[in-house]
Amino acid sequence: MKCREAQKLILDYTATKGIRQDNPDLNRHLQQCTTCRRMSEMYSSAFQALAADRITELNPDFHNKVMERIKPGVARPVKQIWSPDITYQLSRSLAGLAAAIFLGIWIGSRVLTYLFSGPAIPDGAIVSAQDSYAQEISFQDEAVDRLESYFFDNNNSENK
Amino acid sequence: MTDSELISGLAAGDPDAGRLLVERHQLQVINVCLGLLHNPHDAEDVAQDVFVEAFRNLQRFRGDSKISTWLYRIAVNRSLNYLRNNKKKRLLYEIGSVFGLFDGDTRSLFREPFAEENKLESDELRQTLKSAIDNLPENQRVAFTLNKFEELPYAEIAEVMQISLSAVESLIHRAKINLQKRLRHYRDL
Repeated sequence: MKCREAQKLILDYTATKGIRQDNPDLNRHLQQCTTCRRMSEMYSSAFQALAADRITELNPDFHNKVMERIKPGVARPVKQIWSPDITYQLSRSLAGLAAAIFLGIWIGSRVLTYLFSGPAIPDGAIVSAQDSYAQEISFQDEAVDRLESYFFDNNNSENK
Repeated sequence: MTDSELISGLAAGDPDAGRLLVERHQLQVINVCLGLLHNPHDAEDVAQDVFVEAFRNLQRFRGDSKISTWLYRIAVNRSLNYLRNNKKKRLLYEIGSVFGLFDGDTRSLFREPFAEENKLESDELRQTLKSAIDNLPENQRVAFTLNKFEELPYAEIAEVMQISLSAVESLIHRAKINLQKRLRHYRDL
């Protein structure tokens, strides 16, 4: 059996008891194929977890509640799903979410500004930096000239 | 006490018969409702209505099927009506669930020790599976839930849903195909 065929049967296999005995091919494939076996185990766990939500204990008060409802003129209690506690928790979650969105927008805007406006150094500063660099090179050239003339002059006087 | 004795007792106004009926079928009825509603409080609330309706309409029970089948039928109809009438409430519940506000309502998902990696994946798969089942067309969802979680045979599902046996087979087959499509992502694990 190929994985494609096996994976089509795995849902049945995991959701229905006793399928394994009826599918020796699938059983054999699951023993050999790690991927399909893992998938089968995960489906099985998921179905078991869903089934575990089932209620297994009798509520001793259930019968009385039914009888109360049968009595004529008894209004059904209104159940509130949305309590102040939930509102508080939800508002905290929403505040956190809003802060995260604000931070994201702020960081994003900074990055976009940098990308589309070029570096944040004014043009004048670049020009003055270039000037000072040129000046420094010129000073260095002058110093080299002076040293050359000094050594050249000394050399000539010794030869004389 | 057999079903017919129970019905006779109820018809005669025997309070013990009423108590016995509730005790005998309480869990099945609540679990059918829970399978469709996914909320234990709502499920119990609707289950109480199921018994109220059963007691009030006892004279309509003809005895052609088992009492449990009749109660299942009322439970399915009541649950579906509840879902239709409480769409806003369900939406609020879903929003709350996203923020983890209703965790107290759901039971522990994994009772046995489980490898952490697998647990996370299975937890995700469980949610996906639950959502996939919830998004099935109504008839497919009812048939699939009754078969897979209540373990009802196809014949009894046919009685509960008041459709033919072949229609039940077809619904469950189509439900499986739809679930496989929705869970396709997990094939690539």
